[in-house]
Amino acid sequence: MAGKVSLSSRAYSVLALHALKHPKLAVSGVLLGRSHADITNAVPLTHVALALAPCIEVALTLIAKHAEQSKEQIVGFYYADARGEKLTSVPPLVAKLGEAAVSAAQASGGDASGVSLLLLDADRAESGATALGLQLFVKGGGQSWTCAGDHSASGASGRLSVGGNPANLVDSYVDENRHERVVDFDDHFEDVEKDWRNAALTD
Amino acid sequence: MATSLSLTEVAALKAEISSAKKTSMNSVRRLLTLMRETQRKDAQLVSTHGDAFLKSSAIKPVPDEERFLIYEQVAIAACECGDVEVADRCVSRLESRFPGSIRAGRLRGMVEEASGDIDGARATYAKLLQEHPSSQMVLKRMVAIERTAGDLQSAIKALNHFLNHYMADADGWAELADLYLEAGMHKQAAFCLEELILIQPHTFCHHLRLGETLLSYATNLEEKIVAYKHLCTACELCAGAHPRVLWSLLACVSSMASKKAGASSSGRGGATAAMEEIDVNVARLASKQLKKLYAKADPDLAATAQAAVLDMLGDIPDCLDD
Repeated sequence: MAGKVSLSSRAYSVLALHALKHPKLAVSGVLLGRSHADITNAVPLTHVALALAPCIEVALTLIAKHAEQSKEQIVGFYYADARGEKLTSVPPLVAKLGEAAVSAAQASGGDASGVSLLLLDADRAESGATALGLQLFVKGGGQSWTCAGDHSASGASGRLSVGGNPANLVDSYVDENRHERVVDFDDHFEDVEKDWRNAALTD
Repeated sequence: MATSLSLTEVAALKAEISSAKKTSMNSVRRLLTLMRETQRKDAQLVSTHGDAFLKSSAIKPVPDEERFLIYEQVAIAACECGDVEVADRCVSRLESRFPGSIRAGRLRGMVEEASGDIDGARATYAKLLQEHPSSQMVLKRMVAIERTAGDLQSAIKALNHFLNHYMADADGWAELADLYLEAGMHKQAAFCLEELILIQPHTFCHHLRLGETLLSYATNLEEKIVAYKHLCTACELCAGAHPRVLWSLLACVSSMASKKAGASSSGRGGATAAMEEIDVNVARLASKQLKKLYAKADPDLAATAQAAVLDMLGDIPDCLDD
């Protein structure tokens, strides 16, 4: 699986804003796309309850059903650690989430191979550097997740490329306090009127 | 106590202060007081405007007791959002007014933590503990500092030590449950939540969290039945008004009795045995309640939710309200 993975500007904005809304907490979310190489959207999942499986599974079911409507599928997930340091390996809870995302993808008839995991180092993202602080992990043939490279300033040569000028875009969104408006499933499960699709977030 | 009236006032003051060109110091003072009383947090707001208040002439008429509470409040807020200079100034003021005070000493440790001097903070707390070995405040900082340093196992050890002495501290059990969950140690987290429930048996979110925790590692029917009971209790205590409780309950029932969720149809712990433990009326009521809540949400979201519920409970006889 040596293909490139492209992340849309929208997907990057959503995950970065989610992390910025909860700077002291670990956040996680799901990546949607047409194929595992083409990530078009992100759905924020948790900022508190990553370890609690039942509602995570409900959330994945809801996301998968919603994705069907736009012919998308769950192709990966993202995670930003509470401490904002560069992670060198995938934390166990996150790997478990990965497995759940893979099963959800399989259950809805999608392609589960090559599911991507993006780890975000939120400190670097906040400073608006051209390197976005993203690391791509993939499931190789084996059981473990291995790092397939980071997003670097010279994005084209890396495996991960991100569309548009995402750092500047996110900076401008933060200036407008858009990060306060991010809704994840932890929020939705408190108040179902909160819309986890976040459609207007990147308008 | 956070009454709805005081919370409304907090929200109004926050809005006023955030948007005003020239901030009213009276409003800031009132907001700081309310936030102490209602225990609301907004670190950046308190740090920025609290600091401005302390530097302004509005601080002069404030009586001593209130004044030093404000210094403490602003110091803590400043530590939380990394305004180390502000925090340091506030704490220095408190240290000069109350030399040798453990309360000021603990704040000094927090400033050291906020500025990244973990070893300095550890030394400060260790010294305080020598003079006051049973200080709850300092013992809790010992836990917090391990969490700051990213050492989950040490934080767990320190908190266990604290709870050995203060076993009626509900916040402590809740925090330990959180630490265990973060470490993926669900069984231990469940134990902590059980202790928490002994202390606060009528708080629905403890039963919810325990139910979800149990369900996260349960493999056999017996374990799932315990989760089911706690989720039913949570439902009763919140009068079926909380979406997360309802979803968790439906997920539990599905996991116990739905073939789609992997419950085998026969044998010990199978779907048939599960059906004897589940009251289908509970499941029906829960799914009806959920539908009611979603009626106020976006119609597309409601439809997706309905489809998911059908998936989860569709093959269990009589579970869905039709």
